[in-house]
Amino acid sequence: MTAQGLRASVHVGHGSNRVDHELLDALPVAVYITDSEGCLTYFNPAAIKLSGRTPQLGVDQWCVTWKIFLADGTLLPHDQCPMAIALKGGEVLEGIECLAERPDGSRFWFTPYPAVLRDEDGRITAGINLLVDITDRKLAQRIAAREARLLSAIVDSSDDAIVSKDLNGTITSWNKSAERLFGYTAEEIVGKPVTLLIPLDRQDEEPQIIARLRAGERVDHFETLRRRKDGTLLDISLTISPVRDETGQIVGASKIARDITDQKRAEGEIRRANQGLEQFAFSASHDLQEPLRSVKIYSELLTRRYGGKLDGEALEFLGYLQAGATRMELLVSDLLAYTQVSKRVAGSEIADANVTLTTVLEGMSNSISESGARVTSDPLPTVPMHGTHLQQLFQNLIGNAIKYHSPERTPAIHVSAHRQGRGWTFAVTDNGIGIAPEYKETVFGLFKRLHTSDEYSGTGIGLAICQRIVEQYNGRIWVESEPGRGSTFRFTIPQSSDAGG
Amino acid sequence: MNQPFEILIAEDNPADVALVREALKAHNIDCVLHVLRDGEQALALLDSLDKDPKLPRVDLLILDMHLPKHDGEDILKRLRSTEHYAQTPVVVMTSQSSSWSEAKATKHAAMFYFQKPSAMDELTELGAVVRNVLALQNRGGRQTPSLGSGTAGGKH
Repeated sequence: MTAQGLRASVHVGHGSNRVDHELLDALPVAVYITDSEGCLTYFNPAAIKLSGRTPQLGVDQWCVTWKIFLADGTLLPHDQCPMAIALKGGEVLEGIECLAERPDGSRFWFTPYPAVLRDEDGRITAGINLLVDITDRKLAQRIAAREARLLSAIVDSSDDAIVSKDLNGTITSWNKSAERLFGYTAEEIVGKPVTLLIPLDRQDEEPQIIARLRAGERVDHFETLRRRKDGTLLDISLTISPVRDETGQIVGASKIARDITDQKRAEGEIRRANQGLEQFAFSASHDLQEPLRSVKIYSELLTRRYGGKLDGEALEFLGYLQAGATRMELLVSDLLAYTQVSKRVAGSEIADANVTLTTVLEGMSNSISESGARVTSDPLPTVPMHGTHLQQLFQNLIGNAIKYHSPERTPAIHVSAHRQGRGWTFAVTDNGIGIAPEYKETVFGLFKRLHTSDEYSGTGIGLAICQRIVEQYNGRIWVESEPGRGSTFRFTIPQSSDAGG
Repeated sequence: MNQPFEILIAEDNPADVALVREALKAHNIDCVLHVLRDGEQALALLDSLDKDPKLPRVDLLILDMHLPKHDGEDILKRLRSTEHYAQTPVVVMTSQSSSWSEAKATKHAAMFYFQKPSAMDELTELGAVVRNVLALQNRGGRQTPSLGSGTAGGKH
């Protein structure tokens, strides 16, 4: 009930100068009535409850409360309370906030709505006051204010630049780290377009970001470049979230920009170090080929020319020499293939997996027919990768499936692919000897072999090459296997647009 | 008796020089093999051969593209700019995974491009290539020697 409504009801009873007390008793809002001198003539149960005391009619003056304070904490004498002022013919104050103390020391906030009754001559005959308890609202306000202060302290002390903007791209707030990072003070930049921070060649990023925000999407850890006030560029990682108003409408965005200059520098150093190592491995494996060639051909020459003059043991030694050289040749050429994986940069190439598989199977026709293997495939997709890479994957996986076939069964190998999100998962399934669970991870390591070269030949580089290739496309490779029953190697190739993040 | 062929080989690896010698011997090519261990030696010899007509004419250059001091490309360029040897046939030998391409060798009019042998049959093939090149030369007074009439010899 508003003061306005109350005043209306008071006027209704004006003729008899009486108020319907029964009605007021039932009100959940504290109400009291005084005579023209301010002495209490009535108060309702809600007034007792709010003030924490039972006033004495005819004794208590001006207000039902025990003690009144102004919002600033100063004690307000009862004869200066809004009801007293109104009864003394002064201004009727409405909507002010007061604090009152109960006899038990507890306090509450209220807003008084005083009104006076007058007779035909306009003389004040009585006063009525309504006290609305606003303690809950005041508490909520105080908590909100404290939270706002806390939040602003967090925002101010954050190492990250925290900026907000509206949907037109106009900057609406700017914290201290934003000042430090970008060189603009809040006064300089609030109200200016956010594009001021974006390098010319990246201006198209902003409409894309705004479009994603409008769709309610978050932009997470978007790595890009931004421009400082002095024109220099800054490597940053942006996280941008839409900001909604009370109705859920998106009205802007909050943006956290992290300075990743150091991180970028470290990444660059690691990349250079890796490139150096890779270059070293490449040169080493490349240069190893030459002396190896001499070893190979001279041991052959020796066998041909002098084989007849050598005794059995010498020939046996010569055999070991040749086997060693052959094995080393295989290792060196596999290592070379491994180091060369990253030399083919993933770009705009696409490979039709059906064509690639056919090529690979043609190349392997000897080993396929020797083993009697049956290789089948489903229709395969076209994928965004270098044809040579897909070829190496099929070659190694199918080659392994043939090599590690079970002596008890005709080798059966099946190649398939299915959609995985926006990319593809390929599977090469065999019915071979399988892999024990404890080796499922290690088989992809460089030089990792599970068998002696007497059992199965190999260098232990094939699966490492596969893993390196797949990782180059931000994909994953793994094996599922039941020892003695067979293995399925799976690898994922994400859509090329996923690669950049 | 026919004069033996004069063959220059620019190759720093003695094992590979010996292989070439084997290949020539296997095809009974009567020749004198002059071995040059690095690019500098090769260039110096080309210069003196070109200036001094009394020195024996060279019939073939076998060239390893990766030589110390000056690489095979330098030597090919110099050879093609000489007065007397601009037309001399060249067999280029490279290691297996060399970045030196056949196209690049052809640019300098190398007549043959050969990967260094790593097996006996490749070695035999190298000998056949050399024999064919020399047969094409077929200049007066020099004939492909008859079978068994000579062996690959050499001097430095």
